[in-house]
Amino acid sequence: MLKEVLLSARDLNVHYRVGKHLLPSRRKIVKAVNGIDLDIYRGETLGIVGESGCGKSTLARALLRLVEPTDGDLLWKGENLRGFSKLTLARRRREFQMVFQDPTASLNPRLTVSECIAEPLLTHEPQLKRQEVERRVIAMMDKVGLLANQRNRYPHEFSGGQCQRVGIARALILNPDLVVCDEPVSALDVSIQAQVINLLNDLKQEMGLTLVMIAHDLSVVRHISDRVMVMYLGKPMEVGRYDHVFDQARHPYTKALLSAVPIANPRLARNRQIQLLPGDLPSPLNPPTGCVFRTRCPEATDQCGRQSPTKSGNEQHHIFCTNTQIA
Amino acid sequence: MLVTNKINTQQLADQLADNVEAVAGRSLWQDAWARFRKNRAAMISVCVLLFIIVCIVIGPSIASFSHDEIDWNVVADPYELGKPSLSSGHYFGTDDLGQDLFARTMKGGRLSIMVGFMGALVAVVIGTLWGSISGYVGGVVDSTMMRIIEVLDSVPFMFMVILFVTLFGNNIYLIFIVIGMVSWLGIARVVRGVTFSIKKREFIEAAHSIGVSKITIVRRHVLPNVLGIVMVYSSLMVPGFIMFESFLSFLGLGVQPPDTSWGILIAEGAKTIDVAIWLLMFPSVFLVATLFCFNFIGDGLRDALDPKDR
Repeated sequence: MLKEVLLSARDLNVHYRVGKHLLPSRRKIVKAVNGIDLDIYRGETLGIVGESGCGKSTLARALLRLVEPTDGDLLWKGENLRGFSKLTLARRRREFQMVFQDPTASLNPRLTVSECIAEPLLTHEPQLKRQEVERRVIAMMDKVGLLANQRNRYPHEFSGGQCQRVGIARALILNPDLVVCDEPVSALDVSIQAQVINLLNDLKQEMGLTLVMIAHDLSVVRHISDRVMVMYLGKPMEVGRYDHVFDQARHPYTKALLSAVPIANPRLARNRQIQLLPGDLPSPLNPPTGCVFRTRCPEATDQCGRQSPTKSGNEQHHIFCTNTQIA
Repeated sequence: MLVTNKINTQQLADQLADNVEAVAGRSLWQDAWARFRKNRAAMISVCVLLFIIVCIVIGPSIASFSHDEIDWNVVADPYELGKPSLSSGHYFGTDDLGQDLFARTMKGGRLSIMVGFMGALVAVVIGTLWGSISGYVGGVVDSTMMRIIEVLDSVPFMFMVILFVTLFGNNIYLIFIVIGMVSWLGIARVVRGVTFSIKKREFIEAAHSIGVSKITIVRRHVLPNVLGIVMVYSSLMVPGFIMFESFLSFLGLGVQPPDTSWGILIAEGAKTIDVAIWLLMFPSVFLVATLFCFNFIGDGLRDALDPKDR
């Protein structure tokens, strides 16, 4: 069966200019997202993982044109997303929505939650009558597990988890095709994280959504994703089906990430080798030549500094690595 | 017992869940109002200010004389015959022309307080719009709008007033226009700064990701969040305008007799301080009380609106 590609990115770049200099050549550039190729299929959940500062959030925003990509192509349902005019883009935003990281900060403190949830409806279907809007808000609150009689309360009267449910309700009320979740649970308590993740998963099944799940927590991604992309310094390292990436990781970076996940079972944890990566993430202002990961890679060779990584592997699982023995 | 209780609880829970009658929330404004009400100085100030406003609204109609009427009975010796007394009908006494000070204080208060409120109103409306648009749009628009403010701000104020008075003659509306022209500059800067910080908050990005238009974002998400600061700032500005009008009138550039304001009354009273203290006392008490009230109310508003900053 051929899967329908919902959103695809080709050679997507987001560069930020840092500081000002009279000479354009002396201006420094941060390559937050650097040449990402990505296909998002209808109905799947794509997990994107990576360390803090590796460009996950920027990628998420660039996919939805919340941040204007510097270069590259975006195809939304086969149409050129980057070619949309401002008006068209605003109108088409109902098809792709976003759930934000900080649940309380992403809700306007001056609006009641029902006003927050109704905002997409008021924006895209202004002809709706008040009762109809209210009916749909109540139905949506019910779906995300909020008591409808709480609808006139304000965000500060809710807990973080409840606020995130409001954020999810707001994103889903227009029945979008794609929902990008930017670390939706990283600001929540662990006990609430599971609830929210399961809620997203259930709603995905129920409404036939496509999810892009950004996280730095591997267990979250493993739990929900069909496919996973591992990012490092604005570049993809390993992309593939979640079971392939998690169980047969081939890229040294993925292996290191996986070995660093804490295991709850102490008997298993004791005999485990943790592959520590030396040093910190290099400055994206001045990324290493060749493969960006080589400065911390346990298997780096001289070749890695000279040659950019090439894509290898099959469609279900491919990695970007210069070292021919790994690739 | 326990089992029946469990069933009851379940029924209760179901009832609660089915109860779609919405619970009323408590908005940040309501929170702030509750905090403001607990602030004694601010609440007393509100009462005093309301009393003063009631006085100046109904005062001129309960006075025995009108503000520009000369009482010929006291003109012969105004400092002796024109002392404050209940029997003569001059509750606050008269000035050296035999005009009733009570009527004049009330009449002058109307003008002073009107100047204060008008200045604040113009400042709030223009300043908030200007500042929020400038801050939200940013870039070239922002620089241009801010340069306009700087140009207006650098025009010497007194020079403008004198120029206007010579060009258009002495007129009360001129004061409104001049105060209006300069009063919004400060508030526009403040609002721009606050807008800048609000613009980076996540709920603005969320609104953007929904596809809300820029105008609506400013109206629905930016303005309600800058309004608190605007309220504090403008209530603290009102005394400034009242003082400014007094200052202009004192220089003879403001209101002309027989119309009057607290500033003029105080200026006149200061001349006769050694023979007729009441001419200075009554208008000053009203002016000072009003200024105090506005300052306390502004302080109270600030404490009520951002409790974190105390």
